[in-house]
Amino acid sequence: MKDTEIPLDIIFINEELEVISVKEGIPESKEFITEENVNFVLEVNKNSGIKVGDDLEFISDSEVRPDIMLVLDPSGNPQMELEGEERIFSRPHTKTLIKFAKKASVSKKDSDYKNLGKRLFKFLKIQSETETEYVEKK
Amino acid sequence: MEEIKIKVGSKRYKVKAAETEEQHSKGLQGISELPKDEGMLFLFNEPDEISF
Repeated sequence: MKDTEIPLDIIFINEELEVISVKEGIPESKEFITEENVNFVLEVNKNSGIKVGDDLEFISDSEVRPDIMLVLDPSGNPQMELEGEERIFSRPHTKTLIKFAKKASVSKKDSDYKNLGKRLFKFLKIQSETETEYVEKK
Repeated sequence: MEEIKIKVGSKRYKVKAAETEEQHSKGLQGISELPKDEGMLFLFNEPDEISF
């Protein structure tokens, strides 16, 4: 606990993800606390209430936030989170919008920004007028 | 350092994962305040005798 300024609980956890001891970390203390067969050490504020025998669990984001929907790439890695109310453009529409946005950002011409805006509203209109489709759960 | 979410018993924490030796030795040094649900998790590759 050298150079540590706040009182902590030092929790020693073994390979089986089980808490094997909970010690008090005293600020600026020169003494060492030693434990055997340790795979993880958790430091949190003191009086954590964690006790010997408690299990350590790793939580994936989806478990913590069931309200969040993720957009995945073909290999299943999250690309972005959806919270609701977002509009998602199709790949060809996105390509077109990026093309027009790039052009406008280079030229800085009003006419190019106008073209980008026109495309954007055109695609929004297409979205709004398209019937909602649902995918059957397999 | 990567932030991970863990649960110990019934308590949930958002912890920084200290994996390298350098991160292990620095730990929470110099930190004067720690939110109630945050902390640091030190990860070791093999079960070992650890001094803190």
